[in-house]
Amino acid sequence: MNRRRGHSWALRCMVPLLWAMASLWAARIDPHAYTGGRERDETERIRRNSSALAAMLGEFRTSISDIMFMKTERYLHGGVAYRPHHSASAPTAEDMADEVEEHQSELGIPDDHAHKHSGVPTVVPPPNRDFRGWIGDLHRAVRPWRDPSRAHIHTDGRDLLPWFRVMTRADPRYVRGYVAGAFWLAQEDREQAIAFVSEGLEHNPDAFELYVSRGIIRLREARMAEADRGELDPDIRDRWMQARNDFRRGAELALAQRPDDVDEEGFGSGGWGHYHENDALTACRMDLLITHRFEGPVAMSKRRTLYKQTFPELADSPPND
Amino acid sequence: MKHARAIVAIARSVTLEAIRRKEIYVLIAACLLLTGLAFSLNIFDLGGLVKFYREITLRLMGTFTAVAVSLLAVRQLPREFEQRTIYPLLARPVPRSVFILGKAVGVLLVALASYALFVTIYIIGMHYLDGELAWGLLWQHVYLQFLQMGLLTSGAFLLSLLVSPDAAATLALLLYFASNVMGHMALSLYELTHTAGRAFLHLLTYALPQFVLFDLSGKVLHSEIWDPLSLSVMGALTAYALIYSLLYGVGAYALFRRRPL
Repeated sequence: MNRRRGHSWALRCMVPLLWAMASLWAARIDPHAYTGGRERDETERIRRNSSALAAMLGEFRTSISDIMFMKTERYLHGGVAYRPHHSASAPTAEDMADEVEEHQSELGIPDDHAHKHSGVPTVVPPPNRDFRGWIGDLHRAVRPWRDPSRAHIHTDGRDLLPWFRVMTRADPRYVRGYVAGAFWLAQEDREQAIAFVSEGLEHNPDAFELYVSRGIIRLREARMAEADRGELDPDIRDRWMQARNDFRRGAELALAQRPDDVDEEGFGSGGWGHYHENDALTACRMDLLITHRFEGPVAMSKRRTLYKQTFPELADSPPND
Repeated sequence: MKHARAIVAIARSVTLEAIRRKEIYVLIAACLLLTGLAFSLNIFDLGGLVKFYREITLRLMGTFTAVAVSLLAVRQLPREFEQRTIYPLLARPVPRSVFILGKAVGVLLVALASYALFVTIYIIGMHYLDGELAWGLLWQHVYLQFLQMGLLTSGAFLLSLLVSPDAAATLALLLYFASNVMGHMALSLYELTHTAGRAFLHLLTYALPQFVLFDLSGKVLHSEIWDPLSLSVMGALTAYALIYSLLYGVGAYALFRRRPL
């Protein structure tokens, strides 16, 4: 009897204790501190998402933001669900002459992308690989589905914007969402796109990709304004300088974060991947180009000396030096 | 025809019960609230972002109708025994098959009324956003959703006679929501398994209702690309829904008959 009473008292004491501990613990929760559920390296993320477990779990992969990002990929393909494939055909430096275009091509879908992309397996397999027989046939008829051997459908990226807005609200640390969202938003409204990336930078001050992204948008804005007005007035010069500052800050952060063991393909430890390497190189090159134009070859040369320690290929950049 | 009046009377009692219990109001209100919230979102001050609203609304419509149907359907048969209201009903010359059919018609009427309300809101919303409605695909989607609710109702009837109503509602909703994931899981596992495992996956695919076959929302969403389904596909889907609903209904009837009064 006494023993039971003792247990009862122990329980009564534990409940408020646990309650107090839970309250204290809850007060320490910062939802924005979450960084798990995805890899910084795009290739690693795609490799993991292609695993049997990820395929089995289908939609419920890694995190809500990743799920929304997948949704944007489906929207781009007219609703057709393909297995993750963007790492396999990410454009390399040789594919693109203009490095700004190269940067954008990783975020969006350039015109020639459609022709390159075929043969990527669909989530719902073709009839010869589907054991379900007539149920599989009905599934393919009801769902947006296209034979994997045919070129992909590509739709307007405008309709993706709400998903980028929601995914970055859900997870403000989702840098990829800010970068890709800004790319599509810039087609509609550059000011909004700049504001969107700036919001991303508030949450991710060390994300050099965001500086590069904002630099590209500002650069385009400056180029277009200069072409429209036909002269370089102080306002336009200020825009060029803002773009330069973004590239410079991006380059500084990238060089600070870049590991020493990056291989020829741009992969290194700590999740450093081909995309990071391209962004870092883009930031350095664009900084050199703009510095050369507005501050002259001497100022540019100083910056180049700094950058070419990491990127020897910048020794000849800009080529008309 | 002989039992038409009995079916109507039983269906009427189901709809009256749904109205009286007020759960359906809560579900409709929650759906409308969330739909309104989606429509009121300001995305970068841009207009005409119709696909996002289409997707959110279609998902909410399907989800809330499925929840309403499951909650209503699982209660119908066990409750008659628990509250002993089955006795006066069976004292009349009403066969149990007619009784089940009347219950199913009642549940489907409630589902139809809820879905009709949601579709009206959807059409008004699309009109407000200047979005294209793609009537052909939309009506096909509505029709397929109705077939899906019939399938869900008969499945919920069967489950409610096998397990408790709460467990039946959970299982019915689990089957409904996990249909897509389970389909993908079966496709992935099939490549990894051998004879026995493959036979089991075949059994699973053909025994469980494939709710995913009645979801045309993907094509409605991208209606600028996709055409409405052909008559043969619609006919096959109708036959699938009717046959599976009938099978589950017969199963429910067999269990209902064997249940001691």
